[in-house]
Amino acid sequence: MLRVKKVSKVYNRKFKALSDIDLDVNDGEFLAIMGPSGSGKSTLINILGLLDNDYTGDYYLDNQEYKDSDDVSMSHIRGDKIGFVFQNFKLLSNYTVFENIEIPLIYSKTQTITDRQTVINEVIEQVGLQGKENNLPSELSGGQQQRVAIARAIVNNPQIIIADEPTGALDSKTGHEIMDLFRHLNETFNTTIIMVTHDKEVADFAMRTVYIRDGKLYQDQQSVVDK
Amino acid sequence: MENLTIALRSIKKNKNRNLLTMLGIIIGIASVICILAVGDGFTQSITKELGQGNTSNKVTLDYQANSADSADSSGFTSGDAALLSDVKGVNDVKLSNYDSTVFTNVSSQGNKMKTYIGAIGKKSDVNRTQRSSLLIDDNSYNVLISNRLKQKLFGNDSANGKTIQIGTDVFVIRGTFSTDEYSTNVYMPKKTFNHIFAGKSGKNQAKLTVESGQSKKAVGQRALKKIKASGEYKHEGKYSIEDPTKAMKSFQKVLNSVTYFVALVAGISLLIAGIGVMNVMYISVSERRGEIGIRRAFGATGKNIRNQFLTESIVLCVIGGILGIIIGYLLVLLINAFLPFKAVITIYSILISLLVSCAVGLLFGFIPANKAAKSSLVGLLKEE
Repeated sequence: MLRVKKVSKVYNRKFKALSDIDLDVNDGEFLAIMGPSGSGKSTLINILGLLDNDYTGDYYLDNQEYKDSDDVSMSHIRGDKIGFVFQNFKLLSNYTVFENIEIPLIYSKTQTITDRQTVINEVIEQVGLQGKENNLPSELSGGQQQRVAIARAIVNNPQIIIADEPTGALDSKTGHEIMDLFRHLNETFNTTIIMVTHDKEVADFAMRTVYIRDGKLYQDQQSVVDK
Repeated sequence: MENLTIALRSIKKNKNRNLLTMLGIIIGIASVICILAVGDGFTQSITKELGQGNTSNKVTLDYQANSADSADSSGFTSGDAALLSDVKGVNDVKLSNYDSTVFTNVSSQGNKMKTYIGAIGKKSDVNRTQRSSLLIDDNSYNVLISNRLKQKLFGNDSANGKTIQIGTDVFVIRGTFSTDEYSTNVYMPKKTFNHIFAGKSGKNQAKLTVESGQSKKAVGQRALKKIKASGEYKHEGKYSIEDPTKAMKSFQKVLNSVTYFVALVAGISLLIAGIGVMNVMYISVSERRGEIGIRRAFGATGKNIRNQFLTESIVLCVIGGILGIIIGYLLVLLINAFLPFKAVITIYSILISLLVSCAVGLLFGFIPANKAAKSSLVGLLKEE
């Protein structure tokens, strides 16, 4: 479970990107964070994803705070508990589908090479990319590339998936397919999903939506976005 | 292992760029291989030579006359030999000449010339003149004269069968040879030479055999001190201890200066290569910021990233090093055609070369690798 208490983030001592954010996310919850550009959505998920620990306030992940942790323990927690899906997929262009999905496993100590193959084949099946293992990302459609990115995010069996505009680079039909996949992961594996989007239709796939504007969080207030 | 695969993949992706970067390493390592091969070859040949010549218990004293005129009449005498054999630690003393020549007047038909006269007694002397083999082991009064002397004494006439006078003795000319201005102009059989000039040619070397267990250096110094104080011709010339390693030392000196020069070239090219490696690694790091961000997001620690780029820079340098070793080997083959001894590549020099290339990779790859490791994660992921 994630608990954010009075978290603020200031850039260059002037620009306040987040101010006094309070947010609880339960295990297995599918949360959408909506808000206009520059509202602080990305800043918030960077903190939630342990990509950024330069903030004030408290953030507990499974009752543990990592604000003062060193790089090694932050990296290990990230690798073990969190999977990321990005808007523009962020796949390595000269790596095959299989190799892209393998990346998180390289840095987790628990896997042997044979284990890796089994796990990777399993997730490739889950995201429906059988037969594409040896393709390069450039040989795939946008939707397929995002499926590779999702496979990469879930290969380590993370507790939380953090998705930053996962449908932003896709047409709406493909976007819906991807959202179906997220929902499936959430329902089947009870994976917590925190998704940033500015598309109301996409946000509707989530159980709960919160809104952010000018660095402030508004729980379940549609009007904040419409204003 | 993962790092090695990633490194090879990245190097392969930018083949041309990396090959150019390796060029400095290749030149540097090839130079290192050559220096070490020449040095090792020289050491091996010298060790072999010293092992063959049994000079281990011999000390040689030299006598150098102050003027050319006294050269023939001065030197070590039998009295000096007795004196030296009394020196503590000396087993026996043998006097000899290192050159069998005298400087005296040669005349014929009223023409006269003062010149060096040499003896030919050994097979090794034969190559001095083409027909000198006639004179070996002979006590006849036959001589060979140089073309220069022939010109001076007989002009353009043939000299064969004609006679010349040396001192009071008359010799028959059996042939001529060409020579340089200052060389010996007359050769005669060694036996004849010894007979005529006995006592005239000074013994300019005293070879001392040192008793076992005695220090060669100390005995040599004692003998030198004694002969300097009481030598018969101490006022006509100078005594010194011959250094058998002198020739080696002077060659070593030349070799050293060549080595320093090549080492300098190697050093500079490795430095430039290192800077090239650093540059290419900086480019690689900035080109792959997105990749670093992804790896970091999925659990790679800063250390993982640093090691990945360090491996890449080391692999780059080691590939360059291996190519350098191959080119160095070819160069050594070429050098061997011009060297008086054989340059050899040892396992040790190959290991040194590989170690040096690793070190260059490590040293110059560290700063870019560290930069990659320390980059802000949010910044890395933001870029596209």
